Amino acid sequence: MNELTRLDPDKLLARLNQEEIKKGKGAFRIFLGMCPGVGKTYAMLGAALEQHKLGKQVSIGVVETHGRIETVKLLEGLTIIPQKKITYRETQLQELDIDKILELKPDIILIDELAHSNAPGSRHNKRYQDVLEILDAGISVYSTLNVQHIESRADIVQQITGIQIRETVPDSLWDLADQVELIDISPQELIKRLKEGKVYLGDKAARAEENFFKEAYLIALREISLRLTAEKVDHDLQGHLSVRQIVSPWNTNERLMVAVSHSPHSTKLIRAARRMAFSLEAPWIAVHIDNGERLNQFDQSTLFQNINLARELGAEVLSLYDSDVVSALNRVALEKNVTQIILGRPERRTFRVLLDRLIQNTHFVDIHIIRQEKDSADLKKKRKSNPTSVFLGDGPVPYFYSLYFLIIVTLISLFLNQYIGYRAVGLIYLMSVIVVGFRSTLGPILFASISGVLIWDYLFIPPLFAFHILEVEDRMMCLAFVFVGILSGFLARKTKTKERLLILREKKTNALFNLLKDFSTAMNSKALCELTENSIQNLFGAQIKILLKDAKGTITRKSISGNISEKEFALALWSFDNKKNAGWSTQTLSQSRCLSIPLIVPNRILGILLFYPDMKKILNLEEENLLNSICLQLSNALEHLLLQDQNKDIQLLEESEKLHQTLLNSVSHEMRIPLTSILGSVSALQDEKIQSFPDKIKILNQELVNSSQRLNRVIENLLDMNRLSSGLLTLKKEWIDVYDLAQSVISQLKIKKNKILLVEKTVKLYLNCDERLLEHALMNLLLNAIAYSDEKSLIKVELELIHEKINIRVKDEGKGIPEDKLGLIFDKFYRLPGSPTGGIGLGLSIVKGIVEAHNGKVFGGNRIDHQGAEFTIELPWVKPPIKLGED
Amino acid sequence: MRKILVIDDEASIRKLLRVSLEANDYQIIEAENAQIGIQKVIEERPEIILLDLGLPDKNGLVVIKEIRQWSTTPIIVLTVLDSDHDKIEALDGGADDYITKPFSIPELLVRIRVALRHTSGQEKGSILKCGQLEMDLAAHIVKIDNHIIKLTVTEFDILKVLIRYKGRVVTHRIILNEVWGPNSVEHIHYLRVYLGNLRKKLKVETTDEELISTEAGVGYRLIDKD
Repeated sequence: MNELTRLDPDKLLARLNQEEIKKGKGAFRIFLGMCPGVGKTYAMLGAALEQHKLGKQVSIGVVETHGRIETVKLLEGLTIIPQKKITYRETQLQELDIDKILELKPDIILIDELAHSNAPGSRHNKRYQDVLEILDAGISVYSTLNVQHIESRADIVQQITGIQIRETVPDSLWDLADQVELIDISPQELIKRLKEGKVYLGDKAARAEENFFKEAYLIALREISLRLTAEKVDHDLQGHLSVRQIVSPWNTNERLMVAVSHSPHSTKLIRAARRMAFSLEAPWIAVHIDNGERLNQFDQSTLFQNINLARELGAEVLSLYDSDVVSALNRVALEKNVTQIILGRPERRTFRVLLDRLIQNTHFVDIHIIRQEKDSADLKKKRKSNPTSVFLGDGPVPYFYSLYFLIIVTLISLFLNQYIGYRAVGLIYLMSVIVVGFRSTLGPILFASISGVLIWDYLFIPPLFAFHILEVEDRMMCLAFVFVGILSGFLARKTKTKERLLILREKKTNALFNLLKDFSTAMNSKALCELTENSIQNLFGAQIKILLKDAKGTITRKSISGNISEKEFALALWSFDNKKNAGWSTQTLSQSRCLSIPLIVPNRILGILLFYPDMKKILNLEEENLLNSICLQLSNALEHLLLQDQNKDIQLLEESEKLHQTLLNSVSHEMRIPLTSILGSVSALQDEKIQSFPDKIKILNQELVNSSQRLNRVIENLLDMNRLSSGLLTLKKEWIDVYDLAQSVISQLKIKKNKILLVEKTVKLYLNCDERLLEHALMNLLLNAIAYSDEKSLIKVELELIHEKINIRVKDEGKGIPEDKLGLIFDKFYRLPGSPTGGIGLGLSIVKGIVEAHNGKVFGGNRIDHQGAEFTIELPWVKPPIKLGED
Repeated sequence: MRKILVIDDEASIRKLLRVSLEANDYQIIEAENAQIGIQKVIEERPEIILLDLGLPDKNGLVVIKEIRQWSTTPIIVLTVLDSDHDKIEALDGGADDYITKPFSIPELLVRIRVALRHTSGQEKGSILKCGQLEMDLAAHIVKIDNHIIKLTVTEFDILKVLIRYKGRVVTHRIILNEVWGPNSVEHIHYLRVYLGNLRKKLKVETTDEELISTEAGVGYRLIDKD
């Protein structure tokens, strides 16, 4: 391969990825027509029949024959999957039965009219979304489409024919098609067919002919569809070339930016940008800049639609707050390396000024101006009906405050007038207007300045109680008055807007900051979810429910705060499986009461956040971004916790590994010592020389017994430890006399040289316990006392009832326990340094296990009254059955 | 009566050794930790030391090094540790032999006898003997049952080391050091090759009996049947 034709590896990777993605997906074939009646459905059925003959399983999802006889004939022999009936407002509607199709899994499914909108209550709003899901399931789809329904061509067709087009499919779908087939027919032929009644039946045909099927329109539509197909073929060829290592021009340096506003004309801009981006093969960005202007409901929803459109057409959508549109655009262009900016032709003078500034500031960027029509009268009215106008934005209350303020000022002025004169009073009014300006918005300020002038004029300027003014100075003063009012009003408005933006931004930053701060302190996923819940409640006034992925890797109906309904769960599950938002305000299952957001970190999904909006109002872009940021932070925090947990598990595993090693070491050591002794003794006993020393034989025999006992004790301890730690221990409880128990243990230790004294401080102590286990515990304590103290020293066992607790105390006269080691002595395999040989460090941990199994506690420490250690078993005292007590 | 010092913290082991060794006419001195043990080496001048590696107050390896600074008394290491590393370190550190617990008394008695023989004076002269094997260092001749065996120079040198320590284990490191020099002590694979050859040559003449036994992971031992 020579250098020149070597492929750009990134490009190749992208292309291969695309092919990889397509693998496992069904093939998608679109039959495109310039308008209804060209024979798309007919062609589709023809192609399907061919496949059917080849042995493929072909089913019909939806086919609209419009009663055309030739078409109906073709249906024979193909399986029809019946459509689902959906009742909406008492009308029965039929829709594609997507679940049935996914279940039956035919090789090829025919779905007519791609641009169709589904009935409310269906899974997806649009039929093409159904198609996407079917393709994902690996089923091939044949579908039909008219050129006017392609998003980026819709407005051109609308311009040519003047017909409003409502149903559109995004261009990405068109790009996705593996195969497109243009059903081409000459306009004359089509009109002939229409007249013969082959397209529409009855009088519908006549109406159609008037509206749509004018020859001029048809020629234009034909050209559009031919161009579109040619473009697609060209594009596919380019992709083909790039893999087949043929040099092709590839423009990666271009990046387009389109400015989106709440204007209905923005759709046109967006489509234009998409067309340019597509032909340039360049990425494009749609930017919306919120300059703090308050939008009415109509504008708000238009803005939202525009942004959604841009997103659907494949733009990267950015939204930022800035009161200065030009500098914001400039900033984005710089940051994102934008090479071309697309703007609409400004109507208003103010915008023209903006444009001039933009041109001056951006030397490095091409600027395209797209023409746009004037608003229609109807549209103007809608946009003007601004309930949140500058004058009544905050309701009438500020006006009352202004009036109230002016009345007080007037009263004071009336009093002061006699001392300072009416001109000075005018200055007082002027000051009051400025004061109002500090506190209020444009409307009330204008109101205050005008009414201030009027009051001043009427009450103070001679002639009194009349509105006309005699002196020129006074007139000038009045004019200045009004001028100052207007000026301070505008200033106030500007400041207010900036302030509002700042507050909004700060609120968002604060919310995120606080959430992050809280997240860092949250110890478990439940706490994280609760924090998020509170934070969203505060910010949006909305409820959320969070479903986290369980150990099986799926979600259940159980959320952190209670179960969710079956319907909501279905929504969450869809969103979980498809890793996409669904429900309220989206295109999927949009009838739902809540919005389902998957919590995703790179490469995996952690759960679902269900957002229950408080009011039936769409979120504005900023809120949506905020919600997404919160979800992202939550996902990250959850992931962090998960990783921490995994880490902890690994540490635990390592620890248990270490413990295992210690166990093996000490057990092998502890078993081998008695074994050595046994084997040595036995081999010595076989030695002929030994046979002649009876006293030596006796010693060796005794050694054999001792070592075997020692071995047995190790095994017993191990078995008990195992039972205690595996939790399989079942207590065989019975009523015993504690004195008897202690007595029996002590008698087993008679062979030892220590003196063991049993002190019964409380008599007749009865205990409901597992006798064998408790005996074992006491035995371990006593063996320890013997091992750690000198021969013949005194060991005391005390039995006492204190505060409804039975205390069994073992006191020795040994060296005691170093204070810094007290915390460790109950650990498994821990032995004090310098401990005598024998024992594997399990004794005390077994005592602890046994006592805790009896709901008691065990304490170890040093004696206060004497040198030595003291261990106490504390067990809850229960009143024994009467007959026991009477004994 | 020959004096044996037993340094072990396990009372039961000490008792066992005392009973069985006294029956074989050895005099036993006991020490329960390293400190007492070293003191007893000075005071009692035992002829052999049985040392447990796992002492409570000091690592047995350190004890060996300390004793070796001023005494050549043979040391047999008693150990429960299976780790070859500890054995090799003990041997390289100056111990004469080792025995792993649990052991049988007759086995221990053999080791004690071998160790004692070495102290009873190195065999003088240029002719060394071990069972049927005879080695004339001056004439460079090796004989088994009076048949001459042809050995290469290196094989001869290896056998020379083994026969000098006959009956005792010799670590890889010691052989490598004496035959190839201190720079080759890590190259155990050399040794494996030569030892394989040596074994074959010595085996031909002695029917099926092995003269050299392998102490897995530690070294080799020339079997001394005397």
